[in-house]
Amino acid sequence: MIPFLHLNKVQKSFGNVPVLRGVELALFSGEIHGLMGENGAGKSTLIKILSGNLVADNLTCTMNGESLSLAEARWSGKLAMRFIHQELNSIAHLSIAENLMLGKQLPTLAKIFVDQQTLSELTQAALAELGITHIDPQERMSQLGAGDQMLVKLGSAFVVESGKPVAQLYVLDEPTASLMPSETEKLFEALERLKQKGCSILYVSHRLDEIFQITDRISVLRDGRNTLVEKTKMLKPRTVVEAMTGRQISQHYPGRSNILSKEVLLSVQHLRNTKLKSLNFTLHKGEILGLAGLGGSGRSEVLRTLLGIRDFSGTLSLEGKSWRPKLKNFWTERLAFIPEERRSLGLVLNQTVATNSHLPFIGNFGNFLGLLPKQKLRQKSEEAWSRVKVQGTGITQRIWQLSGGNQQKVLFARATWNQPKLMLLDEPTRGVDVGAKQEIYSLIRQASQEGTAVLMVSSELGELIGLCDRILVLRDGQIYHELQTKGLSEADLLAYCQEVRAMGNTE
Amino acid sequence: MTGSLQLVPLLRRYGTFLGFLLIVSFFWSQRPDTFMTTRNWLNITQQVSILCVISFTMTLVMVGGDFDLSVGSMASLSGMIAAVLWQQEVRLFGALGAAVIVGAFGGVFNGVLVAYAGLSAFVATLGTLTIFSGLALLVSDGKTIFGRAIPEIVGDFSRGGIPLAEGIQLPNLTLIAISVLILMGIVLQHTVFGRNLHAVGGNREASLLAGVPVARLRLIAFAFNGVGAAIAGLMLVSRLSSANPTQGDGLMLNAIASVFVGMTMSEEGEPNLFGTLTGVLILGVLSNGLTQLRIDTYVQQILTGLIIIAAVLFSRLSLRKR
Repeated sequence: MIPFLHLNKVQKSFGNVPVLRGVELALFSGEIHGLMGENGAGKSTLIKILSGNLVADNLTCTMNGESLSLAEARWSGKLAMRFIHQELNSIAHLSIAENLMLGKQLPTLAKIFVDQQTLSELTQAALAELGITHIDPQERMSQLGAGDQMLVKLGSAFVVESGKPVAQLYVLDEPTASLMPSETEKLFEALERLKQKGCSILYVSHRLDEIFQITDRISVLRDGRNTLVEKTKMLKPRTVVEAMTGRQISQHYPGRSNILSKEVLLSVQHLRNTKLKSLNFTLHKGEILGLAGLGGSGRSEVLRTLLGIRDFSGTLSLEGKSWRPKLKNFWTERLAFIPEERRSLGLVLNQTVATNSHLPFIGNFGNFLGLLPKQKLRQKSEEAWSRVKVQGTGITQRIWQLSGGNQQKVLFARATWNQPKLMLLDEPTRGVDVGAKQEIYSLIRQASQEGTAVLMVSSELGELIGLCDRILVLRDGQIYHELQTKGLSEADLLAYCQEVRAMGNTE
Repeated sequence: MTGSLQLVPLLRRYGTFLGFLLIVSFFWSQRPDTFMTTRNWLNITQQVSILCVISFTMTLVMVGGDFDLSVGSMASLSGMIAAVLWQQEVRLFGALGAAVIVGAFGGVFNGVLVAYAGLSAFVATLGTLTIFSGLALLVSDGKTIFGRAIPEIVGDFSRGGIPLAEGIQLPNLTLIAISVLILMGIVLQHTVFGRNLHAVGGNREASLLAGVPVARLRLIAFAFNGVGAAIAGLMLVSRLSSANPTQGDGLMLNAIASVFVGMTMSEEGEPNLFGTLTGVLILGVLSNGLTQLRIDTYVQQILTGLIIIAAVLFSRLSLRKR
């Protein structure tokens, strides 16, 4: 069988650093091809070469056996591709239809006026491909939750433009990062339909379960080389992980090796605001408490309220004393927070690793004139840096140069800077590769064993079960279940979440 | 291949400085006797000293991610206030102090509007630009104050300096600019305020969530800028020995232009003092050199604009692809 598109000997260097060292990628029609690899393995570079954002130093390219250059294939229209990226960059004040058609030719009347009727129809048709019927194309994007916004972005790949060739290749880069299971299912169904039509799909993901669920073939990259290309049904997850990391991962979730304290750190009573309806829970010293639920269930809202950026009513107490969270005192009270949106809410990208790790604390270092003792600050940053094992050239490196996993570790360096009492984590391993995930789990566990209480929101059910002592399942701003993780299976937890969804639909 | 790859970031980073050197060597070749002399260079530093002060404090505001359109009219206003007070027989330092305080108030007012009331820097400072300008006209009744109303010592100050050699002196105005440069350098590089301001400019939301007092920092930056504008306004009065209600207005565009040109000289495209200084010097040298070549000031203006665009364009074109 001849591949639809076959790239070979792909090489690319940035400066003197080789990123791709002769990679092969063979995509077949009617197949879903999984591309895996840790951050920095070269996946993004390969995709950017495919999309034309980067030019390879060297590559050979054949389409259906005919050799041609990649640029030629793109410009001649022989290779029609659609790309879906993981970042949510929608324009909030435009309509859903306009967002969906962003960068595409809008249908017009008399070549001047936007044809709203056709626009709506096109949008509806594209969304229908994803099995979505509940979204009104004329609504504003800002009306939608994160999950729905992502679905709209996915939908944009299914728009049929008049006069343009129908795409034969779909490239999806971590499309499910902010989707809930039911939304992911819709996406998978759509991909299945595309596959039946004979399209080729390149699916990039960190999630093994997804890759095994939908792909026909898997390529794994490590350090810019292929370490595995094989049909999915011939593979076991373990083999893939080993091909990605080059090492055998023995234990995925580091277990608790101490006895949990009975001392209550945080108690929350009748916590209410516009999104939360009377929450009651306690968090013990050193405990890891998980918050599960669908997007919009109020999981992140709980964290934001504790951060002090939401109005609320109710009684909070910290270490037995009545407590009113205030953002400006948050970090100095030895509380820590890692936001879900690492790049927009966590990091100052154009600054150094050091600046990012000590950002909340440099106020404590200044003398009476506000002058900083550089030496001491550097030393503390070095300590924080070595504590979290960031892979990079040092604390003066600019943070945008690091991979996602390493950026996240810098946020952990910040969060563990002064042995916090409480850490609030929002999707702590989102968009992070397997190896870095493992290290982040160890960091969370270590902090908790040193007495830090952790309140953690995650869409990865496995990591909630693996790390947490207890899990609260939320829906509509209320706690519906409190679960002990001992003996809890992922399927069980999923069932609790699905049950929530099912009830939500009947209302 | 690798050679050219390493050349690009170097060119990008130092291209503007290289351009500066090119401009200097051009004038040097055209006016070999008068241009490259200590006297002329000290003269240039004096000519740019006023713009320097305003640009350095503007750098602070722009590091924090804002900008300030009102500095020019603030310079006019503060100079006018000092002159009017002198006319009313207020003592020398009393009037100077009052002018600086007005500058600080104006800066704080900008800061409150931008950082606390949440107006965009553009709208807020466009508004205050007009207000300050109106106030300057109001206090002066639209008239220029000159001659005996301005204390003699004020005019003498700008002509004085520290003698370096026979007939050559380091001008007082240059000294002020250097002091402001050093002060701003320390503030930006070595203080909690300065480091936090860099973070605020880099990512306001993330800084806020890290507990950085974002609004206060932005307000302080605007206050610094107001004071900087006031000092520049006073320097201008000293230099001209007169005050009119619009004489500082042109400073704003040149200050912002200098910071922009300077931004092309940092790795991450951030405003930085060394870059700003280069930007100011480019403008200063152009003006000095073109005047020596007897080129019309209107043409000078066109050339200045073109060079600003060229510098920023060049740095964009050679910007690394991420």
